[in-house]
Amino acid sequence: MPEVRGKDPKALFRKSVMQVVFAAYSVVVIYPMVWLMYTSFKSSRELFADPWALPTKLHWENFVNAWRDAQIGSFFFNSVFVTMTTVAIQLVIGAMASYALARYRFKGNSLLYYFFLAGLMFPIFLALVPMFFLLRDLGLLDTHTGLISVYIASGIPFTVFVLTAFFKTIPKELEEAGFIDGCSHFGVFWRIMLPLAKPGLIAVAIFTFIAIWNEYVLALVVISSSALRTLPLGIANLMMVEHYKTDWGSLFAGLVIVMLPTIIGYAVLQERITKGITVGALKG
Amino acid sequence: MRKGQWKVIALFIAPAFVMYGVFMVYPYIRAFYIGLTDWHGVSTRMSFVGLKNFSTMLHDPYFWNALKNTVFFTVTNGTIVPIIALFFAVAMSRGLVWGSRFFRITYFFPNLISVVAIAVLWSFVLNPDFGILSNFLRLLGVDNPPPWLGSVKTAPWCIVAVKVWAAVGFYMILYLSALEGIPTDLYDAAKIDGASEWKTFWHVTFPLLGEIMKVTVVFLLLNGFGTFAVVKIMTDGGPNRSTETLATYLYDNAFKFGKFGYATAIAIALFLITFTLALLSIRLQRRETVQY
Amino acid sequence: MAALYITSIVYKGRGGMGKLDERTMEGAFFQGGYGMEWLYDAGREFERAHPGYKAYIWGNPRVWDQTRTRFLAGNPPDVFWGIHNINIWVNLQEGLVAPLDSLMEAPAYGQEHIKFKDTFLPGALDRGRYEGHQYFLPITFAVLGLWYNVNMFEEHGWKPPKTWEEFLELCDEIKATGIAPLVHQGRYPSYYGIIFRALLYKIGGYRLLIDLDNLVPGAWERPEVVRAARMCRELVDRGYVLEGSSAFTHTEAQMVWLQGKAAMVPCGTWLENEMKEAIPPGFRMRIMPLPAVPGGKGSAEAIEASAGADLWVPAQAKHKELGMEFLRILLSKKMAQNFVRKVGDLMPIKGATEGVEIPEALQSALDAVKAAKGETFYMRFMDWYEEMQDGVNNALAALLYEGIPPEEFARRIEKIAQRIREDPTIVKYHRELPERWRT
Repeated sequence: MPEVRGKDPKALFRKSVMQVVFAAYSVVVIYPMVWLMYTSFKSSRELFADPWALPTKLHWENFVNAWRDAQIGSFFFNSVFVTMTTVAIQLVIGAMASYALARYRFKGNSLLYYFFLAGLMFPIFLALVPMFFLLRDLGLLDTHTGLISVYIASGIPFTVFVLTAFFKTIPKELEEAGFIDGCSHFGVFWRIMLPLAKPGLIAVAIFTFIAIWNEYVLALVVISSSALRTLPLGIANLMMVEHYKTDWGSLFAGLVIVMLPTIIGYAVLQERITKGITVGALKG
Repeated sequence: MRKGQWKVIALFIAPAFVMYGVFMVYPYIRAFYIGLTDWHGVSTRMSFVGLKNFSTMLHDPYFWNALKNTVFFTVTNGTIVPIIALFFAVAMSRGLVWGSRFFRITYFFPNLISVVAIAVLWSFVLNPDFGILSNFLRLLGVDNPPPWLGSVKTAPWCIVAVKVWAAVGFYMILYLSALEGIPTDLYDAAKIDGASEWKTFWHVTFPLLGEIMKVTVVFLLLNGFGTFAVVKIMTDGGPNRSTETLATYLYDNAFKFGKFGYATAIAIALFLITFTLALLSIRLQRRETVQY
Repeated sequence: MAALYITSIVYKGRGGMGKLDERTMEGAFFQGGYGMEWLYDAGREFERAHPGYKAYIWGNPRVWDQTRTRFLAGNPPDVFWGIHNINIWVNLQEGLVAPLDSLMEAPAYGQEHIKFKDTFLPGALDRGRYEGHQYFLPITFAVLGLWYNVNMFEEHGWKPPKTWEEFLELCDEIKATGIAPLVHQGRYPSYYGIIFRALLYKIGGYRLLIDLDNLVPGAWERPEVVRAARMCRELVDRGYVLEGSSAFTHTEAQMVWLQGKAAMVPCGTWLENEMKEAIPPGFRMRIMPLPAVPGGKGSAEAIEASAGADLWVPAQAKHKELGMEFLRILLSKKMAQNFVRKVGDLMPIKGATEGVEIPEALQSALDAVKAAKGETFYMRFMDWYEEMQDGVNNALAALLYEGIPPEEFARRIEKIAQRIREDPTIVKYHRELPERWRT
């Protein structure tokens, strides 16, 4: 990477200015979260009395309250279940469709491709109400199955968009070789094409995971039982409940509990995620 | 085309097609019909009213207000975010700052958190009484910091700030990786020619990023157009509708005022606009990209 | 990863409640300032009174959003109370609400010699009636006005004012000590509406309120309305309102008031209960009405008070009779006394305060009503016309913080009233002038 040699004073000055700017922004990024964390240990009265101060006593009960009031345990698992199932199924059927669209020439190929892509442009709001009716008629309202189905459907346009581009880049010879060796169409797909498209699959998986994990609007419409709620619904609900109880300490604690897994997960998987974004960006 | 290939193709495409068609396309088509009724959303009774919802919409000052605000959020999102993200990315890739690894990691934090949590967090940060921003300003000697979310002048900009905060990290990383793909000899050539940092950026870096800039700007515009959660949680469209967007207005019409038919008509309008935007973006993508 | 997934399948929440059996009564309620205890208590009483039957009670702050899909699906709960995003009058028009006439004629729980409907305080059932039938039942009798910090007032020798001049003088005195006279819940302008509506009454009497509710053409642009708006603005212009009020939610503003940064806050009798977790020890609060205005028709003691329209039985509920039975018990004298004891607010049932120790805050509200000698008032446009409620709130915010002139304020509201008048799809409601005002 081209480096700017910081020997001359002008460059040094510029570098220091940059440093300040960057450091300042990192404060803007990190401090709210840090503040959130230490404030979650305070009582509501302490919070109002002096917002800056560190807590005098560690009010661990805030966390207990938040966990209990927000039923965070089951929400977490609900989110894990819904998100992972969605990603898994969506990847498979999306890859299958993308593969067919990318590698086979047939009448209507373009039409189908644009048909799938059209979904990228539709705002979710348009379909909220009829989607609700559809799920009701299918008996899938207020079920994880219903929510997962809707999530999969909404993720297909993006999946097809990225994976088709991927599959298109694989050389034809590999495919031919597979057929010559006696593989069936599905065999070629499963054993040759899919592994080659791994970077693309990972990219899509990561994007989808983050999107579904944080998805709020659709979940709000589909899920009504508290037992089935996903994390975003849980946070929103927690905010309401604690708001009415004037228990801001617990509200903050709840937010911390919810943020921690994603931040820890990121710290651990950081390399992978950044690579995934990179690959996805350049190919897509 | 080999024998029996049709069957294979159909099998491959069918599952995705079915899921997508049933759970996405069909509801959208039905939505168009609802926009032509006066459905209240609480019972199943609905009567056909033709295009009345649309004419009401065109005469509805709140609709135009929401449209104006939405355009504001769209434009700010599509310009401020890329500029800041690009600035950071370029500075880091050109080695203009130490510890870029650290910044790379931390700047991405906001993108991991659910938008709901971000909105809640920032509502507290911006609280005029116990929030850290106002208190910070008071520490610096500012006597009367504005009431942030309580004033029609500052509330919209607060929303913009939160959206920018939530988005920058991701785009920065995107641009960084694109920048890393630019061959170093181009920079060396520029250096030999005696170009300054800024000139190098403008004549070398920026043109080569054209493709990715287009895509990200379009994504950001589309995202800005659909602004909902941040506004709903932080200001609920207020104060006095100054932050109300098409999406929140739509939601309120459906769920607060019980005018599902009208709300759907607004959604259709929202859709037509995003559709046009998206079409335009595809046209733009057809242009030549810079080869190097 | 895989382990996580498998764990999630094991621990994830199990779906809905399935079909409740024939002997279970389901009640869904707004979970807010009052908490859920009083409802659970009534549920237990229900089970005690009817062995073999169960009461399944649950609550949520957004209970309507949670259950609206069930209404659409045709299996709503047996009893319901929601306050956010709900328009019970639209629900009524759409056929979602069951008439409670049979319940009203039934004997009262624990007092079989009188009818249920006669156990209510006079006038308490009015808001829930429509075209001769009872559809909604009230939970509380709410008194709305200005709540003040008693310790602060006593310490400085301040007294509740009787006239507008006294009020302004009081505010000046308070301001001089460095405390803000007033703080309000800016995010929800309807709280400032308490001051606004009181001024409307003090200036124009009940006749004005009736005309405004009935959307009489031009009523909202009358000079009385403009004057009320001007007076509301006056408080802000004179610097009586705490900085930052415009951004506060209700709990935040009330919290600030509890901390002594402001002397008064507009609110209702639910205040003490809503903030009970945060009230500093020894804090005392009392309510006072807005003062009389020069040349106005309303007396100094007149105060806004009414019983609401809250509880209802969905028309498509599977066990309507069970729902009604639950209501009969929930609003019985015994449970009303329990409510006062546990929640500190008042159910509009005769005898609710018997044998119960009443907290100072609630007592001040009861005293204020008594002092008003029957001159209590309330408005109805907030229930009937969602757009109107929204419009008035927005106009108030604009009046107070964007500097629009009072005439403009009135004009904006009149415009909305006109739109509602001219829209044939909006059902119009009507109310009569109360007896004592008819000359």
